[in-house]
Amino acid sequence: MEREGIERKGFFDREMQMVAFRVGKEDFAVDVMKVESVIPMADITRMPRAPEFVEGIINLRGQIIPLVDLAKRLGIEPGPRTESTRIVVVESGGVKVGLIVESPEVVKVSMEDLEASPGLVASDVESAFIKGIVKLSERLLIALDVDRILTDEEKDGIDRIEKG
Amino acid sequence: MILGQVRDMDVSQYKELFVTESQEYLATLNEQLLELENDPDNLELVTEIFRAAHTLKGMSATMGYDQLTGLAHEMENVLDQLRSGERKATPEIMDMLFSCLDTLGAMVEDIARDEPGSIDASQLVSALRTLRKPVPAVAPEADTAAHTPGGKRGTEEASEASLTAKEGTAAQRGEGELELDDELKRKYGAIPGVRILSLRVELDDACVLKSVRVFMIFKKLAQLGEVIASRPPMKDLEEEKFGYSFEVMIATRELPANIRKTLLSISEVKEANVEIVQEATAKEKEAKAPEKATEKAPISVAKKMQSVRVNISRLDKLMNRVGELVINRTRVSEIASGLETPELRAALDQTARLIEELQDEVMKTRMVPVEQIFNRFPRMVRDLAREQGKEIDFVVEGKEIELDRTILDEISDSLMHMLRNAVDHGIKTPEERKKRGKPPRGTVRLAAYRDRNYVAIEVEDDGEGINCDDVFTQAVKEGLISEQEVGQLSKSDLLRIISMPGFSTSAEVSGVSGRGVGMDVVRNKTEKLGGYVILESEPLKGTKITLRLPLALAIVQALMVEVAGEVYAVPMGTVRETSVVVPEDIRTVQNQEVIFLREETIPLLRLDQLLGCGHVLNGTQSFPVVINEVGPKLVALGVHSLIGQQEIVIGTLDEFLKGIEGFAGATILGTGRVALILDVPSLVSGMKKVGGRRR
Repeated sequence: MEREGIERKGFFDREMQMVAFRVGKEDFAVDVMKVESVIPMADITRMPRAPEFVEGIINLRGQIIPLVDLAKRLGIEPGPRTESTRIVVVESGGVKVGLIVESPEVVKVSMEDLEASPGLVASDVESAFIKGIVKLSERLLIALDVDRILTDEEKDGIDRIEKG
Repeated sequence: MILGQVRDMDVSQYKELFVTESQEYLATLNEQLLELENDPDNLELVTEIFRAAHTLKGMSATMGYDQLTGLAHEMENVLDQLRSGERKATPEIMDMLFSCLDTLGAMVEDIARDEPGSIDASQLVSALRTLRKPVPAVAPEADTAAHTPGGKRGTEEASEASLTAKEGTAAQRGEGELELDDELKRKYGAIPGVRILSLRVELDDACVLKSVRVFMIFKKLAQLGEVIASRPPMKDLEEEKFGYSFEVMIATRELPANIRKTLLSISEVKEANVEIVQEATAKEKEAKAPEKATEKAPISVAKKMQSVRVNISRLDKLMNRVGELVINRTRVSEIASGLETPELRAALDQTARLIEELQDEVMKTRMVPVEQIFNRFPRMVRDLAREQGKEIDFVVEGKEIELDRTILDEISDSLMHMLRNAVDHGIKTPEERKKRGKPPRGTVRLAAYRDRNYVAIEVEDDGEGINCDDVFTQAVKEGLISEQEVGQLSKSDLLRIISMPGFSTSAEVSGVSGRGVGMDVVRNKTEKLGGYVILESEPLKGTKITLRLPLALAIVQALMVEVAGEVYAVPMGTVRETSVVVPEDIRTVQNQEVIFLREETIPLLRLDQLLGCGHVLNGTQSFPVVINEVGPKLVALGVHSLIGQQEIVIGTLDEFLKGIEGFAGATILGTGRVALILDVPSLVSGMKKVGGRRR
């Protein structure tokens, strides 16, 4: 599936770029090809009746997109919002969505550093969102499966909320 | 030599054009036939219909669609009999003509889907022929009748034969004279108003795809008349076995000058010489028809050139850009108001005006007259009525009213449902109507009119009406509501019950079965579009269903309100008025807070609670309310403060958030912040039970 992205790129140059960031106490990374832009925290409009992890909606250059609190979504303890809190805009399953993260940066990852097996991670993060592990010299990044952030189960979730 | 042979050419590239054009012709035919049914003696109309059928036949022949050509030809023959007064437009003939039209339409559909030939029209064709037979045909008519698919072959042979003699070596090279034998001359000469012309067409030396030009020329000619022969023969023309000029003989009602003009309008046609081989014989009243034909043709050409087909998604994009521009304007104005620069202010005012005009223009491009879908219905109502042996006057009003294209597309099915219901269940047969002391002919009215920022579309019948008690009983039977609930229901709940999914879809035969079919769909669609449905019915008097729809989807007037620090937009469409509520005035009826305004009891919904922002509106403070009309009901929405009325651009929420009920979308404010647009009907749908009714 989406691992294709990693593999295909890797196949040609054995090196790929990822956007690394922090949420709570964990480090994450997403394929740079999935990232549309990184923007400063915006004015958030609350979205009543939406799932809990939806922080609200924002105006991204005239487009209205949902903003997801990644900590809530991944089920980990959130850190405080700081000056380096940013919104990483990604495409998740065809839908543009903003993710609230800390200190995003672009890192170069060699294919050797990428391990597909999520079993090795000792983390609270639900394995469904994990695509693999990136081992950098001084830190360990969890490669997120961006497409699963807004999955069908979530859409069902919205339906349920609606009916309830 | 005859047009049918063009079929070997590659016509695929013209298919789309053919399909659109023939669909237009069929639509016109449909309209005209309906008109004729009400005015069977209108000979001018018959002539127009005849002409449209003829053009259709010509077009089909050029494209090599034999089936279409054959049927169109049969239809034309029947029309010709009407025109000559040999026959009257009886209901039977009208039925036949309508079914011709339907079959032709289906054939065109087939062609559009690239599956031609799936339709068997042989029965229809033979029915048409039998229809024609009993009337002793006058000589010229009999000759025209020889053009039936079977007969056509005869013509083909005839013209082939007429040329064989000449078809020597010179002919092959495209030289020599193209002559017609006396038989053909007599034949076409016998048709009043038809002249035979010989055309010499010269193509540009630089012309590369000669066969394509030939094809286009023949296509055009087929619209103007009937091609009788060509030199060199058609086959050679197709294979480009000719120099740069060729000759065509055509039987037409058009003036030579018109033919020449048309030919010269085709690109890479260098010169076109037109000679009259045989002048038209003008006879009695017929003389007038061809005159009119020549007058009319250029007008319709000019009309076509003035409009461009644009993909609706392009208009959507354009609309979105303009929407962003409107937002930016507000934003720039806000920044400018902080600066003391009168020049900037003046320039901004100018810009604002321009943007407003631009917005207006873009909105207008999306607007189409309701006529576009209304036109389908007279035929539908007619057919249904005839099928069921009912007599119905179908009245259409306000065809010219314009509505956003998207909205119009969306409601088309709804209107069909409503009209179907009116005919199937509203209007009874003449006998039954007489028993009820009503005129035997029923009336179904479809009307559109502007109502403030809305367009109202009504379907009204003078039929049976709906008996509330029957409906409620049925609903209980179907387990949709409980017996106890019935006691609390009144007439204003009728729509809600009828549009309950599942209501009366059962096959059970009762006085109300079928009445609600599709009403849930109608209601959902309408509300999704930001409109609402009103149902009024009086037993034995009739039923009226009104759809109130916003003019355009993209930009609406909204009342901006503030709740718990967030700004929300309430579309003005449902807003009736605003008021201020003092806590002492709030009463509780059946666990529902209500307020009293003049003579009305209105349920109060506190927006903070409804949207889950806590209970901020509590306490002893008075607060403003926005009174909304939701269908026939009123609902008061309690808010923290009213900001004011403004124009907003409706932005859509993406797939992920679309499923959340209560919001019609979101809009970007002048500050760049996003505000949610409330969809009042769906927001309050949770409180259907205790509806505030007007007293």
